Amino acid sequence: MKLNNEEINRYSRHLTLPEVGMAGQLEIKESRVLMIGAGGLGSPLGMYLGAVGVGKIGLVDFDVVDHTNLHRQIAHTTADEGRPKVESLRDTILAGNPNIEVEIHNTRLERDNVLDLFSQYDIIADGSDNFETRYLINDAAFFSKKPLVSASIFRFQGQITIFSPETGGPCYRCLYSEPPPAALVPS
Amino acid sequence: MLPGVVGLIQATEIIKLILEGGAPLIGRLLLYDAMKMNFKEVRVRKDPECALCGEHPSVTELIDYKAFCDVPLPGAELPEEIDEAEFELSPREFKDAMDQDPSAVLVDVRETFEWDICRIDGAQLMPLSSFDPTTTGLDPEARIYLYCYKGKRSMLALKELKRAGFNKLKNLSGGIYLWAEEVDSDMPQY
Amino acid sequence: MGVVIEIPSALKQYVNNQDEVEVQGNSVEEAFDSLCKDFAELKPNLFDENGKVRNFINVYLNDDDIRYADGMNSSVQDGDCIQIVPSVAGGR
Repeated sequence: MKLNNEEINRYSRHLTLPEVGMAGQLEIKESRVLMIGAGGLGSPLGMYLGAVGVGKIGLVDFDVVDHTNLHRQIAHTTADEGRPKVESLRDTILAGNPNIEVEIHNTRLERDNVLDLFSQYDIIADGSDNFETRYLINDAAFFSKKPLVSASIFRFQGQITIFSPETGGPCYRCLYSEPPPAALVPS
Repeated sequence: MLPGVVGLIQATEIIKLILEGGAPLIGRLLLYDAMKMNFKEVRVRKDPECALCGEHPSVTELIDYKAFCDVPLPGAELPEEIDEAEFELSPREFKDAMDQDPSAVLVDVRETFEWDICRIDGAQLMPLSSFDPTTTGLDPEARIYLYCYKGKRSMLALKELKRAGFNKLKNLSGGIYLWAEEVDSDMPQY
Repeated sequence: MGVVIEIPSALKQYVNNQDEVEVQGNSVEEAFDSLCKDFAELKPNLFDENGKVRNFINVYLNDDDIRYADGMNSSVQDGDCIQIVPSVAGGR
């Protein structure tokens, strides 16, 4: 794989950083990241991963853009209301960087599609919004031996970590063995 | 704005994993508090007794996550199967039933900050977060109409009340969100 | 000076909306006893019927999980910080 001249120019401030350089930029271009959630966390995550040149970004979400999303889900604009979030986020990412591939999965992540999806990517990013999906993602990432970069938010607090049992690190169940009672989870 | 900060940290960690550079956030949980504007870090260890990645795993394939996450409230007995549909009323049916029933008791189980945005006239606030079916002060013989934002939390409260011996219960299907659409067009949706 | 217990957003409503509460005690258990004496509603939200910290809540003494020290018996000193961190799932 090589960078074309437009890409060399685009990523030049990366290429001149010793920590990235040409080899690093090619690693970024060859990488495949699957994002679950195209909302509050997914918006900035997808926009930045795209801008820095991650070669393939997968987006999983089944929701559509709602008026109440706009004040924080910054990849979606007023004109996107009613559109599937994965389409809206894909368009925003590609407008920022047309050199990459964005594959959209306008579907709910389920037990019967998760392993097949994970097999097509190198890194999984969890920006989902419910416990069922978070435990599904954790278990599927473990069985797929893929690192899981996990972030969750509640009101004014956020939690971020990487689960990578495949390299000896903990998984989500090591951190929290069970979810809270359903009645305590804000809907 | 909070998701912006958190999503960008997630992006940073992904690029570091790709570049195999720096100190990745493995075995560390980063806690961000926007109000205090601080970051804290706590250690996350691999649990040898973890059901998935521990020494004697009990989860060896994908499971039923809906069932796994259906954890009952502290002290609650195992939830008996009830037919939710039996208790659901559409916003219009809910309003008509209450209008015909002057002794009806209307209970809002949302949180205080939601109550402050909008509410249905005549309701009493009993937030689900501190809901205790044994100390509501409600008469178990009264007809009780419950609502929340979209109907899910009020159904949980309804089940709690049913277990505590209440029998005349109704739930606003679709919650105050749908009520604003179908009954009270002056009410804001949030 | 005592031990500071940091309260997460999700539980602040049980402690008069405070971010942190300073208590006295020589162990994590004593610190929590002191906290729950002042704020009784907090107790069932932190502990199960057997007095064990609920599975979706972690308690850290300074920066390590008390599960890997002496649990509730872990000793604390003036100036220590106990952090309560519940599982949260939001992404939107």
